[in-house]
Amino acid sequence: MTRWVARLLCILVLAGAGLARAQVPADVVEIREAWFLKSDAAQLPGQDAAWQRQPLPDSWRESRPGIQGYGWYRAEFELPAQPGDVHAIYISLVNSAYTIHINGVQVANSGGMEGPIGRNGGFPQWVTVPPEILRAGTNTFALRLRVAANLRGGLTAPAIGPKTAVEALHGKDELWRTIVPRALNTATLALGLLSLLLWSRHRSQAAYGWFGGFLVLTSLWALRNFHHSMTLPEISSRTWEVFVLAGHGVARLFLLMFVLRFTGQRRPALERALVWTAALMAPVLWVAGEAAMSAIRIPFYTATAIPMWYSIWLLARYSPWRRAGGAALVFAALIGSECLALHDWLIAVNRLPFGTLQWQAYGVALLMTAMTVALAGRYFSAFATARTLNLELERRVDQKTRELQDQLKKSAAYERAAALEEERRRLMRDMHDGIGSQLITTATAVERGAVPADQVAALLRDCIADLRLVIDSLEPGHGDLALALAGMRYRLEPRLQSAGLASHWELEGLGEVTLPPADVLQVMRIVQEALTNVIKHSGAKHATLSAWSDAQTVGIRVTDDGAGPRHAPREGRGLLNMKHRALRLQGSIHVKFDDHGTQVLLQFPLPAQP
Amino acid sequence: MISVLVVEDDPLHLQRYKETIEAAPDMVWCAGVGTAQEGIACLSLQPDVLLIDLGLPDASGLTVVQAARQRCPQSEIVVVSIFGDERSLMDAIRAGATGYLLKDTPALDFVAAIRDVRSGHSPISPSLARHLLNAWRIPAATVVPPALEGPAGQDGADVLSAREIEILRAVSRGLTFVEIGKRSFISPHTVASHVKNIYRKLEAHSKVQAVSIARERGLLN
Repeated sequence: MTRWVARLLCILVLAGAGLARAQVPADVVEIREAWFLKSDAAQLPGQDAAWQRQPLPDSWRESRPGIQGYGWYRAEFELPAQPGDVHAIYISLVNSAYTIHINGVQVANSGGMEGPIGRNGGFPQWVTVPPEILRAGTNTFALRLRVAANLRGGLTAPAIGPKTAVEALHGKDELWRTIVPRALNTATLALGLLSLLLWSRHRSQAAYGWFGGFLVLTSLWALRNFHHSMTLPEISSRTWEVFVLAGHGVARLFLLMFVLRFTGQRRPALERALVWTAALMAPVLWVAGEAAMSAIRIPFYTATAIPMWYSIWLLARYSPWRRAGGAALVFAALIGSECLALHDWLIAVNRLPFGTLQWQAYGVALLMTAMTVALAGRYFSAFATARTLNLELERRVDQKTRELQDQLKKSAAYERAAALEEERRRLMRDMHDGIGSQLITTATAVERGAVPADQVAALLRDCIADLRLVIDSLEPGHGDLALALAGMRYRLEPRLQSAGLASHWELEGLGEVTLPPADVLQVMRIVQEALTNVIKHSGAKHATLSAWSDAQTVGIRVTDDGAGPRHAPREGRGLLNMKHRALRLQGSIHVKFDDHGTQVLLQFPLPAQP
Repeated sequence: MISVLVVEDDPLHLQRYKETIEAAPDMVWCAGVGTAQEGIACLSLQPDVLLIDLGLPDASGLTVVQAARQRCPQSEIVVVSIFGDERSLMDAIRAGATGYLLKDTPALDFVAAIRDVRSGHSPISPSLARHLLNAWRIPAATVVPPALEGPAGQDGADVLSAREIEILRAVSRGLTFVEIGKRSFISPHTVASHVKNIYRKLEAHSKVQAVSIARERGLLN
């Protein structure tokens, strides 16, 4: 894309440079030489006055430096016959106020001939001439000019001819002097505002800001050119001069700032100096006054070339041709623009003929296009970078997510392992507390040989019963206390019946109580011990187990109508075991017996639900 | 007379079973073998009741259960386990067992259990009832109503009736067959025959489930 833009810019430059003066048609008379008389006379002075030959274009600064006020140009031109159609006069540039007289009849008045002088003669002038004023043979063209001290007074060669032919000449001149520059100025202004907007959104990208400032100020400075195309409102000449000079200067300083930032340089001291210079320029010029500004105009323009050439040097050192992002384009445009500015400077110092087309507006166009391409390139590369970063970010998030999932899996596996370990330890403890110690007791009893076989069988059955409790506690869903008690009933019911016991179980009051399996096992052991005691020792006919719970506690009561444990030899140890187990549940055992029976009451708090 | 075939690898237990059954006036000892292979071979004897130990040396007792279900559809199949390992029991019921015994069941109860199964009554523990409810994804938490309502009829080959569900809930809450029967004005034997029906339904249910799982996986059609 950059290559195409570069080609376009070349064409633009060539078009501007090749903007030759339009070929004058045969029926149009161009007055290249006239008579001049410096005179304040309001009427055309006679032939006998001190008229002098004056080639056109004529610049007062060159032909009569330091002179201001009124002067007359006079020229004769020949027409082959009395014209029948409307004629017109076209003057490329005339500064500043003027009147035109054909054969003694005034045909144009720019205004401002008396009183304060206006800047109304800067753009191509076009005046119609009624055919009846003209005549066959010799005709007289006269132009009265008023020149202000601070303005470059002068006149280019007028062209007189049929209206259509002159209109074409004027139209072409107006296009290049007025319409295109005005369009470029407008575009520059819009682009400048866009740049400022970008900068306000992305403060870190100061290059946008300086570019925007440069473009806005260039546009404002280019407004100066509007005196080529419009009659300005009433602005004092002093203000206008300040605007023209300071606008030009500040724009150049901002351009330098832009180049500093664009090439990635950080020179705080220089930047501060530039900002202060830019800020003080307008006030200083205002205080200096109109005369001083007139005097320093040329040196000032010359001085503004310094930041320009410094910018070019900075860019050259930046090796733009080796960089992406349109740096080479900016470099070329800067040089091109400075060449165009040099051209205009040559006009200003009268090294080029008065009325030569000024090119600086086109220089701005060059710069504007190049910088836009450069900044757009940066914008798009930043965009691409952001996209790359986004992709990278997505990749990293994915990676993190995977890592997190792995970690979760690992920690879940760890938790499972820990739960398994805990369960294993519980099982060991349960075996140790219950069946293990009971088997040792039984083995010892058998070894002593004093124990009858049925008692050994009873001891071993106790072992099996406890083993069953342990195995039950491994069942999933064993935390349900009601289910566990139901299971115990189902298992003990045949024994209870064969012992002649009628059992009543009241579990409805228990509700949905869920305990850790280890706690359920403790409860089952206590209940099993209590019921076994009833079967073995009490001689009871009825046994009742009732269980209930509220929000905080669980209660289980086993009652019978037997004689109680007073005749039971092993009661003491059994009760002690039950008390230990109740303590592990943080609960308590109360045993009560009298002649009517025995009551064992277990109470323990509900553990906090996980 | 009830002919009984026993598949049990422990000779001591086999001997005990033999003595007990031969002592029972209404029972005939059909055969006693120690491996699954022999057990399956003896199915041609068409016993009335099969006692099958789940832990056989050559294969799982379940293979014998499955074979018996196919080849002796009239036989009652009772599995024997050391403890009430409910998950193994569920598998056995799915394979076609209608009763179970614990190895340490006293001889008297053991003979009574065989008679019960023969007359269509199946035992059930609270934990097994809970497993059955889970198999149908029926919540166990409903409070047992004072009386069981609804018809006792079957709602489908593999769907539990309301009464069956309530029986399972009552059993899992520790109620005995006698208590359940009192609540719903039926005999304990009727409750026990409901349990057998439930076992049959579990067998059908697991077959239906197997088919639907196979269909989901695209094995059929």
